[in-house]
Amino acid sequence: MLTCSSKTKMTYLRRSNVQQKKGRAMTAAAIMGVGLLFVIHLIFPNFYARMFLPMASVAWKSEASVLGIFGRLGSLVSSKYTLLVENQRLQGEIAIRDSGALLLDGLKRENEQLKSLLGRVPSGKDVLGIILSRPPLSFYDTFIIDVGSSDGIAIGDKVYSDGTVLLGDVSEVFGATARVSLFSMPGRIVPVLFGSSTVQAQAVGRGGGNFEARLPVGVDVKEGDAITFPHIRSHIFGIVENISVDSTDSLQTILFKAPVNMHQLQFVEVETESKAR
Amino acid sequence: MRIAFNITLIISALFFPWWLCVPLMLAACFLVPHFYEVAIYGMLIDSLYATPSGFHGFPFVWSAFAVLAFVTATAIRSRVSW
Repeated sequence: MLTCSSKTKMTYLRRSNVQQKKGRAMTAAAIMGVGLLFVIHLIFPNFYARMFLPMASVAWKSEASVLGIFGRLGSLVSSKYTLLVENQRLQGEIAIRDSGALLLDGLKRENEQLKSLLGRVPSGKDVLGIILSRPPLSFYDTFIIDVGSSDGIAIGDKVYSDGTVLLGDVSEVFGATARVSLFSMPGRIVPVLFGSSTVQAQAVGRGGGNFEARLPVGVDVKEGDAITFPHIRSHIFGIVENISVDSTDSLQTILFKAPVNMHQLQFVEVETESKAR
Repeated sequence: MRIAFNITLIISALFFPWWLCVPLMLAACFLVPHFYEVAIYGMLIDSLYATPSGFHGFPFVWSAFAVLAFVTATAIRSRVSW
């Protein structure tokens, strides 16, 4: 028997790895560069904000003016009949609210008189701010407003809508802009007072002006009750939307939300020097 | 495509809702090889909008998401070809 075995010797050309090395070096450099930027971001969280916010605020301001032009053009072409119907509906709504507002005005005056008798007069002034960025642009439930330290804004100043709806407080101040943390920021805990009983509880922010609070079942809270924040200035914080009671639980879950739509707000008032009182 | 994604992500960080930035960042990571810039966009969004109290106490959600998206996309891209 004849066996035949043959060994073939293969010769491969040595592959040039210059390209590969260059690619790896570039990857390493890119990763190191991004890593360095990230370290700066971790150590100095406001470094990039101070750099980018002035540029971003210019972009947001131009966006608002462009949208304003288109909005006005849109209103010109909208149907007159629709406007008439809308007008009538709004007139009816105003008439209903007027009577309630009169009563509220009287109560507000009385409240302020009582506070002044007791020497608790709010001494700060309100600064109007235009909202440059709002949720859902911001994942963190924050506003960027166009007033900053040059307008007398300081960290901790309370922020209102329509002068009465308390929304949040100023968390960071830059030259011509400020960042407002809404009380409804996910996970933020705020003390609140429920309705006329003024039972105090801790409310947890759920984003977009929504809150959740837990109270003992025995506490009388109804849907539509007003919620306030422990603060000297007359204001409203939220309205009870839903109450869920579980028969196996001694606590009731109360869901409430701010009486304004955060996504549609254009202006806010910043109460300066609010920490002084 | 890289330049197009860069421009889109800058615009989305400034003008689009946050939930639109998520798929755009993911798409950029998966479609563009080695899209390192995504980490910069994550940091940009955090620096523009985040406060020290952040989201449930964590102020670097977008930076972390960007790094995670990049790492995941790179790992998947090296194993899959299309």
